[in-house]
Amino acid sequence: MENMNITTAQYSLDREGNNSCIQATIDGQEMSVPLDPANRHYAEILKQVEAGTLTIADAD
Amino acid sequence: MALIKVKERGRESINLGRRNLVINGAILLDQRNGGSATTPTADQTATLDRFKARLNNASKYSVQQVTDAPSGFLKSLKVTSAAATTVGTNDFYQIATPLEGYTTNVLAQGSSTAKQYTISFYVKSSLTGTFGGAYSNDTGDRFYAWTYTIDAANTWERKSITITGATDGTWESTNGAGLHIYWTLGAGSGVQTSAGVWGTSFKRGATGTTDVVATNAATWQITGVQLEVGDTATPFEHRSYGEELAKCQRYFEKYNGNLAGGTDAAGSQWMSIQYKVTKRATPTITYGSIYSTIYNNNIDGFSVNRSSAGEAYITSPKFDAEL
Repeated sequence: MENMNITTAQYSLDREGNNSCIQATIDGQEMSVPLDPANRHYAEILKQVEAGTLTIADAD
Repeated sequence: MALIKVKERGRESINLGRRNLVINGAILLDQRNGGSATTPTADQTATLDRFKARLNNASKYSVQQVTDAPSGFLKSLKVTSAAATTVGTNDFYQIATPLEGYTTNVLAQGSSTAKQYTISFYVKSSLTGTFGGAYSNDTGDRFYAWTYTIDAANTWERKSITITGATDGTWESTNGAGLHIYWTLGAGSGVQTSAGVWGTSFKRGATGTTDVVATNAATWQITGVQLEVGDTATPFEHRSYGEELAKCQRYFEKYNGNLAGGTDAAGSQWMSIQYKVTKRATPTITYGSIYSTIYNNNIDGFSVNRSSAGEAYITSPKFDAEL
């Protein structure tokens, strides 16, 4: 039932080189989204990725 | 020896303290906007603590915490219509508050022993007539619309609606949304349904209700929101400001200033912050600026690391674990 406008999404790495969060722009605001399915922003990112409308870029 | 007989109180149907399942029902908290009006442009926009805007067209109404409330209350949530909006067939405009599953298990929905429960609230509007609200589960395949009547314009009135909980469907029982409560400010005919019965289609409101957004500058206010088990609206359960703030901080917390940290043995700059309240889920973090990277974010806290000289810092951080 979410309806967020996600314009950018890119993984960030932890010190061991693992994906730790996603830097995203949602409804015009930059945010650090944790990889927690119970987080509403991450749940929406997953939904849009599954729908093929969003791609999460690899970390730099 | 004289005997003292202790009179035993009835054991059933005494529902005293801790009966209100709604957080910020007295509208004391507005951490995000501090009493300033906000005009939601996106669905699910968080407004006052625990209350969000639901909409499919931007900027049709504003939401504000105001100091206008019935006797015994300090604040209310005020909606003001931005224009005389034509409500399209599938349009919807709502104020909603989702309750966490850990809180709503007491309703026993999804079972044959589902409880009766009662919502009560004080409402005031520049309009009169029949207005609507609704409940749903998180997946939206159980939906119940209800109505209430505002008899006099610009006058505080207390309303209550009692229903029997859904005996089927799937209801979140842990940290997901166990029950969504909606007050409808406008809903098109394609997203309306009959009031007073559980359905399996997700809608937005009840048929035959007033669209607040259809009247330019119309106002609608609410406070004293309480949802409790049973068929009776008991007096509103007032909680202290500090207690209510802590309850809200499970879902949203902000830090009014900058956080800066020190240096580890290897010369890397670190700081670790513990949240004031353990979060419902790992929160999304927003900030003014940061140097340079967030690590170890979880329900209890997070760290910021900077791998070069200078202090690690984050300015004006906000932590969002809303449903």
